[in-house]
Amino acid sequence: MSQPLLEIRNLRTHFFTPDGIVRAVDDVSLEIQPGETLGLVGESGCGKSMTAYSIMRLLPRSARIVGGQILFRRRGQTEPIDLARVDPGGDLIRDIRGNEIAMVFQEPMTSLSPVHTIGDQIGEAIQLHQGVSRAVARERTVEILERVGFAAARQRLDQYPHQLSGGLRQRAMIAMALSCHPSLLIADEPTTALDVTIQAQILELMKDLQQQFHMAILLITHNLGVIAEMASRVAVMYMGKIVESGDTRTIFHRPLHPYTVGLLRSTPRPGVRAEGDLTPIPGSVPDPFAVPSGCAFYPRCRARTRPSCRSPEGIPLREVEPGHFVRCTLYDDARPG
Amino acid sequence: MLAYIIRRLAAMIPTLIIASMLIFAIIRLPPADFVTTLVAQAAQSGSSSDQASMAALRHQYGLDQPLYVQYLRWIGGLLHGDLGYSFEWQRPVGPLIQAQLLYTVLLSLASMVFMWVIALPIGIYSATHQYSLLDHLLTLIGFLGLSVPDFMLGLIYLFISAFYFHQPVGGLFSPGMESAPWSLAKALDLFNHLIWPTIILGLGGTAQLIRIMRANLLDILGQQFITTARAKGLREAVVINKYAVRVAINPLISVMGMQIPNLISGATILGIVLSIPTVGPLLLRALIDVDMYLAGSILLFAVILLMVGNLIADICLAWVDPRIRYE
Amino acid sequence: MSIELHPPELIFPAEVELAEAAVEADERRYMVSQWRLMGRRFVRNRAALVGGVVIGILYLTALFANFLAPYSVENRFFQYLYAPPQGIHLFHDGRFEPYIYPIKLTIDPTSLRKVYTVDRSRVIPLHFFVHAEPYRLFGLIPTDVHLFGVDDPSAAVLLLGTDRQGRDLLSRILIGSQISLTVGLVGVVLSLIFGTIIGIASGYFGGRLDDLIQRVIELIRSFPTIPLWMGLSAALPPNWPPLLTYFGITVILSFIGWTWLARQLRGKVLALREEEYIHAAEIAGASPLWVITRHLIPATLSHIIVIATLALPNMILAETALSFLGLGIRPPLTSWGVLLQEAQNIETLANYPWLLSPLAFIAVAVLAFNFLGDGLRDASDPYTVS
Repeated sequence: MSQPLLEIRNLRTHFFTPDGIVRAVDDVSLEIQPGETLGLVGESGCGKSMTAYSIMRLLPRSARIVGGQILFRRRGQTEPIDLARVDPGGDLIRDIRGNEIAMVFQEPMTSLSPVHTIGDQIGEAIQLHQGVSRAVARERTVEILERVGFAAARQRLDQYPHQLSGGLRQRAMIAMALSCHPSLLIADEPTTALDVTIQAQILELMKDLQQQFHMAILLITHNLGVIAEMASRVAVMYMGKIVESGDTRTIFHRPLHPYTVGLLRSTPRPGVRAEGDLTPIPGSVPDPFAVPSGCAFYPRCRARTRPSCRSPEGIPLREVEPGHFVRCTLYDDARPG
Repeated sequence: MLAYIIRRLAAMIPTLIIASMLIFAIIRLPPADFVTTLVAQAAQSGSSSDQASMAALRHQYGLDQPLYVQYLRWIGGLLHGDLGYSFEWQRPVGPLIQAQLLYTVLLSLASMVFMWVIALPIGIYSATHQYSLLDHLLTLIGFLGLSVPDFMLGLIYLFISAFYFHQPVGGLFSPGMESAPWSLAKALDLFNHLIWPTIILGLGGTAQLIRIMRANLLDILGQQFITTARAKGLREAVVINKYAVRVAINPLISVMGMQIPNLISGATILGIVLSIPTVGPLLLRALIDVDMYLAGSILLFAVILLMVGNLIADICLAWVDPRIRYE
Repeated sequence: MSIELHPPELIFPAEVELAEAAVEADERRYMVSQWRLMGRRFVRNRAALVGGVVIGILYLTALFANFLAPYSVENRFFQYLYAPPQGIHLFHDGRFEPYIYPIKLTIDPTSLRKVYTVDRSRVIPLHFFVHAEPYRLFGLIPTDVHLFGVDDPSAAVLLLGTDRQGRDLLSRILIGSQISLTVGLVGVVLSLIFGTIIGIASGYFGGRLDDLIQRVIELIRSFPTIPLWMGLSAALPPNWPPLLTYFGITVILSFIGWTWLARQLRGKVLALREEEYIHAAEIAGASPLWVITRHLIPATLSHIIVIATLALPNMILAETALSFLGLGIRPPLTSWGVLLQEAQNIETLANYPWLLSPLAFIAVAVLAFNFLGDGLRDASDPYTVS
C-alpha cells in the first residue's frame, strides 16, 4: 500500500467557551491516499467541519488542537510534516493553503467576497502561489474557469459574485480552489446549498477534475447520496468521534454501528424496495457540554445491550474485518479473520 | 451612476419645497413678530411706541400682509438669489451670513476629515486586537466620547483654557487678522484657531465611528469569505485590509451620512459656546427676535447642507459597493 | 475466526421510550427561553450591571431630591454669592461628629478682590434629619425633613458652592435632576408609542402608506436637529406656565426621536413579514391587529427596549443643550442645562469653576445609560458568539 497523502492520528480539537469545553474533534484518526475520495459523514455539529478546519489550521479563536498529529506529505518531499505542530499564522501553512491543500465551502454567495471580481479573487491565489505577473495570472484564470465549465470565461472575469447564478458561483469557487493544482481538495458540503440538478453537475465536474488533476478529495457532507456517488471510502462521525469507517460499498450494504444503520434507514434509496416506513433516529444530538460518558450514542441507540456501553473509558475503535472499523460494544468479540 | 445622481437631485426638490414651508411655519409659530420684539426692546430702554408707528413699521417690513403672501415673497426672492432682509441688522441677509455659512461648512468638513483619519486605524486596531489592554482603553474613551456632547466638551475646553492657559479663546482669527486680506499667514491663523473646535466637534463622532468600525469588523471577520481568503494562503494583513476592511467600510459610509446632521448641529451650538462665527449665534438671536428672513435663510441653508451631504454620502456608497451600483 | 456480523436487532419499544425521555430531559435543560438567555448574557456584562445600578441610584436620588437636598431651589444666601465649595469635617475630638466651618466674605488686602475665608474659630455641627424648608415628598406628602443640614442660621453647608444669586448648587443639582432625568423618560415614551405604531404599520402594510410615511420621515430627518429644536423651542410662548413648557419640550424632543425608532422597526418588520409563522397566522385568518400585537410586537420587543434605552441619554443631552441655550426649561423649574447657563463665559469659569459641576452628573448619567443600553443590546442577540 502506498504512502497516504494525509494521515490524521488521534486528533483532538477542543473549544474553550465560558460555558465549558466542547470536544469538537475527539480522538479522530483518518487517512487519505493520493487521488482517492474519502467521505466524512455525520449530522450537523458532529465535528466533521472542525476536522477540516483543523487540517487547514483555520480554527476560530476559541478552539485549539490539543493533541494528535496531522501528517501531510508535501509535493516532492519524502517525509510528511505534522500540520498540527505548524505555526497557524506562519509562512509554512500559508504556503500550503490554496496551493497544496485547498478548500471549497458550502455557500458560495457568502464564501466569496462581494466587493471583488471573481477574476481578482481567483487570480490572487495564482499570483500568490505561482509567483507570476497579473497578466499571466489573468490568463491562467481564464483557463481554469473554462475547465470548470464557464462559457465566455474572459468576459466573466470582471463580474461580481452576485451577478452569477448559484451553480456558476460554486464553479467559480471550485476554480479558485483548483487554480494551483492542489494534491488535496477539502470539500465541505459542496452541493448542499444548490438545486438538485445543479448538484449532479457539480459532482460530475468534481469527479472529472479529480481524474484530470489526480487529486485526493476529503468530502464532508451529511448527504448519503453524495457519498454513494463520489466516495470510495467513508468515515461516519458522531459527537466528535469516528464510529464507523470502511469502504463505501461495505458500509452501505452492511452497516454495523447502530448510528450508521439509523442513518441509512432514515434515507430513502431509489431502487430499494421500502420495508415499512422510514425510521428516524429517536431523540436528538445531546448537549455538547454534557456528553454522556461511554458511548455518546447510547441514549438514542436501539440496540443497547450491555453495561459496557456506559464504561467511562470510552469504547475503542476496532477493526472487525479488513479495512472496516467500528466503535461499538456489540462487536467486542469480533476479530478480523 | 449619472442617472442615479440625477434621480436623487430631482427627488430633493419637492422635499426642499416642503421643507421651506415647514421652516417658515416654524419661524412664524411664535405669536409675536419682529415689531413686537422691537417694542419690547424699546420698552426696556424706557421709550414707548404708539400704535401708529408700529403699524407703519409693520407696513414697511411687509408684516401686515397675510402669512402666505409673506412666504411667497420670501420664496420668490430666494429664486432670484435674494435671501431677504434682516430687520435686526438692517442689512440684506445674503452678505450677512455669507462668511458664517462658509465657516460652518469649513468646520464641519474639517471635523469629518478628522473623524475618518483618526477613527479608521483605531477601529481596525481595536477589532484585530480584541480584548487587549489598548482595546479596552479605547473602548472606554469611546464611551466617554459618546457621553460628553459637543457643547459640553466646548465648555470643558473653555474651562481648561481659562484656568491653565489664561487666554481668551473664541473667534477664528487673532485680533486684526479678520479684516486683513487673504494670505498664507491668514490661512495659517485660521487653521490654528480651527484646530481645537475641529477636534471638539469631531470627538463625539470619532468615538462612535470607532465603535461601529470595531463592531462591523468583528462581525465581518466571523464571516465565511474571510475564512476563504485565509484558506487561499493570504497573509493576515492582506485578509484584513483587502477583504475585511473593504466590506466594513460600506456601512461606515452610511454612518458618515448620519453624522452630517450632528456635525452641522454641533457646529451651530459650538459657535455659540465658543463664540465662533458659525451660523449658530446668529440663528439663536434671529429665532428669538423673530427676524424671519434671517432665521429662515439660515435654516434653509442648514437643510440644503444636510441634503447635499447625504447625497455625497450616497454617491460614495454606490461607488464603493458594486451591489448597489448595479441595481 | 470471523464472527457473524449482522446489523443490530431492534429492542422493545418501551426501552426506546425511555431513551426518548432521557433525551427530552436533556433538551429541556438545553433549551432556555429567550428572556432567560438575555438575562444570562446581560448579567455577565459587568459594565452594563454597573450602569444599571447607577441609573437606579440616580432615579432614586431624583425621587427623594427634596429630602436629600439641604436647601430648596430658590433659597438665596445673600451673604454667600459665588461661594466656593466647602468641605465637611467628620471627626471632632476623635468622635464621629460631622461639622463645618462657616465662611466669611472679606476683601483681600493686596488684590482688593472679594475672597471667602474659612472661619475656624466657630464649629457648626452638622445634623441629620433636620427640619428645614417645607416641601412635598413625591409631590404629595407635606413634610420639612431634610437628610442633613445645619441648625445655626448664620451658617450654611455648601458642598458644591453657590451661584451668582447665592443659591446652593448641590441642592439645585439634586432638584434639577428631577427635570433632567424625567424629561428624557417622557420624551422616550412618546417616541416609543409613536415610533412603534408608525414603524410597524409602515413595515407591515407596505404600499402607499409605507411610501408616504417614509417621505415624511425623510423630510423630518433632513433637518439638522439642533437648529430644528431651536426653532421649535423659540416658538413656545413665553407666557406659558413652566410645567406646560416642560411638556412642550418633551414633545419637541420626541419629534425627531420617533423617526429613528420607526425606521429601525420598519426594517425589522419588513424582514419578519416574510417569515412563515406570520404567513401561517394570516392564512389562519388572523386580523392585522392580531398579527401585530401577538406576533410582531413580541418579536421586536427586545429591539424596542434597546433602542429606547439608548435614546434616553440623547434626550437628556438634548434637553440640556436647549436649556443651556435658554430655549428650554424656564424658571422656577430648573434642570442641569439651566444650571450650566451660568457657566457660559470664560471669566465666570476662571473665577468660579465649581459652576461646571452639573457636567459631572450629566456625564455620569449619560455614560451609565450607554453602558446599560449597550449591555441590553448585546444581551438581546443571544445567538451570536462573542
